[in-house]
Amino acid sequence: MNTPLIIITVFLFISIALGLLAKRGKDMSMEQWAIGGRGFGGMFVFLLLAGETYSVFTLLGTSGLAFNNGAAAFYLLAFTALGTITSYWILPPIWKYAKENNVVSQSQFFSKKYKSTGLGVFVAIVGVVALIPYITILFKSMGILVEATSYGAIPSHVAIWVGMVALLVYVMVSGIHGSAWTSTVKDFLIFFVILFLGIYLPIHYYGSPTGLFEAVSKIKPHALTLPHKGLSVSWFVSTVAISAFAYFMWPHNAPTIYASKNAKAFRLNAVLLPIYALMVLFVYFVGFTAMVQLPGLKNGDFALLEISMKTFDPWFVGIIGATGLLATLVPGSMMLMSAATMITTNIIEPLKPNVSDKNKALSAKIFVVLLSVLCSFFSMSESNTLATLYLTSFSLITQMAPSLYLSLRKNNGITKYGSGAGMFVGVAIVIYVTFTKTTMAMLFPSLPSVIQDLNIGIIALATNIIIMFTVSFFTKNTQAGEKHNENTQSNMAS
Amino acid sequence: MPNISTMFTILFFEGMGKMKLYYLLAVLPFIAILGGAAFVNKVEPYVLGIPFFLFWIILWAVLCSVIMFIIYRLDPLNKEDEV
Repeated sequence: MNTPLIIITVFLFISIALGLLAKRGKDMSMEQWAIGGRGFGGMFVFLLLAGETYSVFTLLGTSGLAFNNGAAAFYLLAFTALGTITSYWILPPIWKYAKENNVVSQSQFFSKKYKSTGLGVFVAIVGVVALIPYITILFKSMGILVEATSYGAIPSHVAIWVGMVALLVYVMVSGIHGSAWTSTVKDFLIFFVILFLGIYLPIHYYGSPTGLFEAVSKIKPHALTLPHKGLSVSWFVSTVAISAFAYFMWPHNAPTIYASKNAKAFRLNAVLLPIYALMVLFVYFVGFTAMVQLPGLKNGDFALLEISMKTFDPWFVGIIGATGLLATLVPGSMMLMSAATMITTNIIEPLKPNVSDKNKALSAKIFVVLLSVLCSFFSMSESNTLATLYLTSFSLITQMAPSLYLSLRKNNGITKYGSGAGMFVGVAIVIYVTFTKTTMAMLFPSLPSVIQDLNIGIIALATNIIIMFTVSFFTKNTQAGEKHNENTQSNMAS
Repeated sequence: MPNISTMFTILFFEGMGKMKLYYLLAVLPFIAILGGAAFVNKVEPYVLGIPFFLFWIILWAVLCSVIMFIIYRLDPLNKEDEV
């Protein structure tokens, strides 16, 4: 074992210990395990929301995107700044409804709000499917991380299996309390590491960030702006717009939102999170440094690690690796827990209402194991870059946004049929496009590139919204009729 | 048929009456980043040593926080202890 691996292993044990400590003295009911008994203060909510955003993807995927595509990577900073300010208006009503109706998962939010078991089942499935590419990113990153920091001694598929087991142990022992505690350690580490790398590397190699940008424009004159075709301005605008629109739609954001003690925390977070997003800036600096320094590197996802190994002593590479590990465990555990909660509340409960709480918890955990194994296999066979997988996940969760936002209004004109049909078509388009690798250019070969470069998620979202309104319009009376029947029945019963 | 665009309009304007006007400040970053991208997609001039396109995004990320701070302070909602 070399120095970096020893450091990474030590941090792994520290985080499992933290998980065990965090749960001491608390009875682990579903409500405690998943949403911390709705007792988290503003600081924890901030750390968890930030912690879910700044995962290992921020380190490896973002620097990789800057390395491969230059200015296209700036979309992350742009949509995070815009997306986080929506917290001020969107999260308080979501939180309030969840609190008043004992909602513990995103799919349950839909099933209660739209009074539809079927919609709950559907949202649970979409949520889990959307998490698969993201969890795959985490495992892939873990493989890249350990393979690189062990200087090739441990191949990535071994690292993925070991990492998966570590994540599972971590999820089983800790729950959201453990994630919150580990999140504090992780955020401190990631903040320090990113800041240090982003400031040190440009100064070390070029004297200043300006020197770095001048060096970049010398070898790749167009890397610092968006190109005319492909990842162009219309790609940028459409991607930033839909990503900001759906910023808080991640199923693993839902438990954090419900875990809050009050609504004020979300309004304060809207002030703090945009400026916190500037951290990504320093990851760009790392990616650009690697662009100039490592011209032979094929896979951009290795950029941050390769440049670090070229520049620093093994012990510091170990610290970077440990940061990456924690940045996998925290969001990874939040994702697996939210997937398990959705499956339990919206698939197992409605289908088998007589199951005991103990068996429910057990089946949720079995499901978590199966999901992890599946994602591990994907992460070994999947050849897409981290950034591509991330965009796929995001396109999927975006489909939930329209009917969730409209359901927050007093008089929601959207029916459960409209919501379900819209989402179904939106998700179908995203999945079709992902598997067939369809692009807008293939669909509309004769249109100008302004249209061809649009993020295809826009088409899915627009179709979703149109179908949602149309179906709602035609089913309004059906649903009203059902309500009327319910009322008459309950009147008769009383 | 009271068509879909009517439905949109109703959904949109129904809430406008009660809305606080300073909330509209939050629209500025969206206009600047989404609407401005086509005009600021250039390297020169460097501002504080940073190419202009990146500088523009950084500037608006900071302004997002500033604007939200102003809204946070103006909004009576945040003066209450609970809720």
